[in-house]
Amino acid sequence: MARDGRERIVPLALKVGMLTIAVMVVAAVIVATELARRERTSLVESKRRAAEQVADLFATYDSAALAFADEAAALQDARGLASNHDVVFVAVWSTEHGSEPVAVVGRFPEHTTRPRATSRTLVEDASLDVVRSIRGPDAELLGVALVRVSLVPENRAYQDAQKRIVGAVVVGTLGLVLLLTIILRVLVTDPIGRLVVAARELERGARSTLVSRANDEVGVLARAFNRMANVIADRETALRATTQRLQGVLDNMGQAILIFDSNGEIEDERSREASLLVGPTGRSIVDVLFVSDHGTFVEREAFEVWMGAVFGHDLATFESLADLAPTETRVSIQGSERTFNLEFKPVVDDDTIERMMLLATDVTQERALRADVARKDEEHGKRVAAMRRLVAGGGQVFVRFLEGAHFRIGVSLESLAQVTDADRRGVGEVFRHVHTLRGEARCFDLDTIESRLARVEFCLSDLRTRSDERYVLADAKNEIQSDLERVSLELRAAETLFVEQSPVGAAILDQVTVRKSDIVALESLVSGRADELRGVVDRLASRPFGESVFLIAESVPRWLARESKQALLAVEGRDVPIPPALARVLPGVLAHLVRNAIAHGVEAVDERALHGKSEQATLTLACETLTTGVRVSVSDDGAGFDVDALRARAESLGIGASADLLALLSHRISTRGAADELAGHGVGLDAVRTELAEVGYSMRLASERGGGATIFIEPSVIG
Amino acid sequence: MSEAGKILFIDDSEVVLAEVKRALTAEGYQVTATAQTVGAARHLMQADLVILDFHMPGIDGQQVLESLRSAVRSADKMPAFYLYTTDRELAGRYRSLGFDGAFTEKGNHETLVRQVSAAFRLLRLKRGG
Repeated sequence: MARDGRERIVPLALKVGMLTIAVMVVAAVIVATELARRERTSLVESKRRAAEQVADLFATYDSAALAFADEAAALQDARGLASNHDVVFVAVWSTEHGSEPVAVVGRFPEHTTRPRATSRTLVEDASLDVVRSIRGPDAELLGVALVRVSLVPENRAYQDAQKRIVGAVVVGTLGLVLLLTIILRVLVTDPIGRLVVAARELERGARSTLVSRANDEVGVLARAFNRMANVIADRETALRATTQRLQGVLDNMGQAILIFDSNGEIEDERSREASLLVGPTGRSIVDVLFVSDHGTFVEREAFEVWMGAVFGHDLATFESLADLAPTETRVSIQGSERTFNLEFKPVVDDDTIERMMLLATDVTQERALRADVARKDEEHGKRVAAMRRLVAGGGQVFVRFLEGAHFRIGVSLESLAQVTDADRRGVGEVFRHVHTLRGEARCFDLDTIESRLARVEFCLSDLRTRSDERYVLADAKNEIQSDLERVSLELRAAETLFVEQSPVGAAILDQVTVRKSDIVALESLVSGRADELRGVVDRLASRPFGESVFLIAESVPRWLARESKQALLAVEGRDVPIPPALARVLPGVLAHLVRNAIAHGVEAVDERALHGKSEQATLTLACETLTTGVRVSVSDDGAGFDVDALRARAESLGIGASADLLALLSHRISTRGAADELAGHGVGLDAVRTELAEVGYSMRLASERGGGATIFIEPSVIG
Repeated sequence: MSEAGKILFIDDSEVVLAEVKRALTAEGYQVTATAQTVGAARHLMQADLVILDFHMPGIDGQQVLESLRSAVRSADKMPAFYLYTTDRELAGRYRSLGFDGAFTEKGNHETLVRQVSAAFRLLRLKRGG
């Protein structure tokens, strides 16, 4: 394989070319050698025949010279023969002269022995030797002649022929190789190259098709590839759809599903919840579930040891250790703390656990809901208990708690001041007071005070027992003192809130519970008296003003909503005692007047804006003590009364237009165009006046057009 | 070791003892809570896990640990000793102090319950399930 991942290949054309060249070279050598050998054989044979003819002639011709022992003639004959440039040498031996030749011409090698007198021809590589016996007329042996003829021209011709043949074969071979290469490229290599490219595209996931009209094997291969590519693409599409469906299922399961290996490395496949849990970069499962430096020493170690015990083992091992896997973790995701239930499922491969699937279910909301239900149950229990205490003793129970709490804090601070390194006996007393106070605070749902006192308890525990050098008593005392002072302030705040929420205002702090029947009896006992005792009994029988407005305050927002108006209800003098007779009718009277004020007095938001008023009107219910009784007022900063319209309507009805405003209103005259549920009937005010008159009170109206109106309820002037 | 898990909890604060005992007992553990370091060894036989405060009057947790360890005669019966503290730096040194582990975030009972559960799992894994 090459570095870039591509396979290193030897082209088919090159292989075919090389093989062709090799075959052709071998063939060329064989053919050339054979042809050249044949050519040389033919040439040598021709030369041999010619040489033998010449040698025969020479032997015949030279016999005369030997017969007469004429060595000069023999030499002359030999020279004639040797004049042929192909003759290397000519040697003639006479039977008379022993081993030495009688005539030698040419390059006769020394020590050449006399050949036997037998005619023959010896063919060597570079020459041929023709031996001829020389006989006389009677066939008697006269001598022997040796003629050596050169074969150099034949050998040269042989080599030339060999070269020509080899050259022709080489040229032919190269041409053939070129032709074969072109044919291979066109018919095989290029189509296969396109097939390779298409296969690589397919490998990368692209849909790939080959165009081939060839009717040979390559064409068949291309069409087979196309069918295969289509099948793969279809399967991939189906697989993708299945994966998407599966992913959708996983994502909607609300579970973090992920897979990790024996090293804790998390794999890429994961559900949407898992991506949230893991974060943008994949991490180790240990880090994901138990964030380091988060007080997770033990949990991390237990998980790592468990992974080491189950990975690489079989299913039976996992099952035996399954209950030792972590079942829960708490992690911070995007700034919020979330609790996950954990369930591990082994992925078995060849009977060995190599990977693990984790199903992490977010139970944060479920836990919060459960805790909320438990808390609400607890709160409900507390309220029931508190109500029971209130039923038993009224608001005085809480008042007594407040009084007791301030007392305990005061005593605790004094005792604390006495504590020294040497004498810590006072700490026990402080602890008892704080512990009691904490319990009482819990009873009244004063959570802040309770948790602060719990901290004080911790500090007091240390203060009672610790004496090591790192512990500084003064610091601990200061801390406790500071907390107790804060508790004192928080108790004041609770008292303020209690008074504000009390229907009777600050009077709640000065109340005791008495029997109504006792008061009625007491009233009858002092009936007819006008002394101080009667005054005390009247005050005892009176009800705080706050009681009369309690239900009205709750109803005002609803009445305003019906009229699409905005107003704020202010109550002044909640604790002013209202005489019992007035107290009986006052809630109904005030409800009527407030509803009238909302319907007629308070303008709509747009209208108030036009007049430069704030969007929110102000309704005020106030009460003050007079020497003759009480004065109650109902005020608004609305439109006030349209006096002219009232008088005009009075005239049209035949009522005296000179009557005062309240008289006009009480005579069933309403300026409202249409009556509705709240007001506009013009009958209610008359009834109210009557009701008040029965208990010795009357109404007076003051109004300023555009500036609002006030109705006063005051003791009637007698006489 | 029973399924419930037996715990010996030693802390000098009665309040901490009471609250931790309540939290762990609610999870099903059998908890012996004591502020007395002297004589605490008699509870060791019934404990699988000992949770120890470090800063105690007149004696620190390491001394108590050494005393308790020496009181266990058989190594097989040796419970796991865990440090209980809010001091992260101290918790990080639990091994050098001789503890088997550390429970951090003292006062957070929800975390303590998870940590104690992990400690018992670890104990079982180390003892071979």
